[in-house]
Amino acid sequence: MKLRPAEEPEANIDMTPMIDCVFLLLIFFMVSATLSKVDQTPEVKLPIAPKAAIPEAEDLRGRGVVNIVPLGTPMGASATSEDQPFIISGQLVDEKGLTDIITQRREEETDFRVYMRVDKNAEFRTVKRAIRACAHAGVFDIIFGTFQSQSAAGSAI
Amino acid sequence: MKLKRQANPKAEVAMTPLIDCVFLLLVFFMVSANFKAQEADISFSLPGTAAQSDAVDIPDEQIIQITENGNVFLNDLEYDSVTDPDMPELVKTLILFRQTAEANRVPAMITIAPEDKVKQQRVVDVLNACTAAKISNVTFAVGDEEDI
Repeated sequence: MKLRPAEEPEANIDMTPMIDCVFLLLIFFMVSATLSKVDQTPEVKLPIAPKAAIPEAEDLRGRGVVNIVPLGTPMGASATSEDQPFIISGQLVDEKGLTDIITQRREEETDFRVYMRVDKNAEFRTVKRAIRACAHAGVFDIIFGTFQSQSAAGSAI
Repeated sequence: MKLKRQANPKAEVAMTPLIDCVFLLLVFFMVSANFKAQEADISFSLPGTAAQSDAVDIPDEQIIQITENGNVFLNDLEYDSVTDPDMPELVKTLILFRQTAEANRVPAMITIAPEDKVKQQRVVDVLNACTAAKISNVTFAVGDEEDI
């Protein structure tokens, strides 16, 4: 008896559902990646505060970020010093520059707040100067950036 | 002359490069999403200038002092050890303080006065204790001695 092998149809895997799925994942990760776009200076190691609250997405608007690292931390070509201890968008500024920037931003946005990302090893003396600069610029609401747990702080490095 | 029509092969779009590309993007966004830990807020507000210059009767205010070594003082009493970030004793006292203030129908207010060399982590520890005690009216003693 002779068995004729069934004519093999082109062995095609149906790709469509997989591509749908991958696109969905892609969009999800793209959106979640663009949600947290703050001026994050990687040199700053935030302190830990378990009771701190993670802000809502709409609460993130109107924030001016000031980064403060311990004095002497190298930033690109230069380093933070007594004269220029604050970092805004990667630029080193002094107290007067900080006051000017905050004053300008406050004029542009109505509900402007200052978000301070202070390194856990920074001294309060520097923070005090930044707080004073905010007060001079007329901003009285200040937020400190923190991590809720050690593990969150670890994964941020 | 008779032109023989070429048999139309199945009109297929080549999907492979597209999928390669999409996978690459997917992996990129997955990796970059995983590395970003969410930052949390701990906030305070400065007293307005009026509160500083005028002699307003500030209802119920307590001052927490932090020394260079990280010792925390409230009313000249030291609370918790330097190495304890949770400060259970301080939280307990602050809750009592808030309840007393609430009973007297005045807002509870905390002023934190750290010394110059205090590390930010210790300041945040105290702020965290205030948040744990549900006291939202927290401010800093900054002083104006270096005023221009």
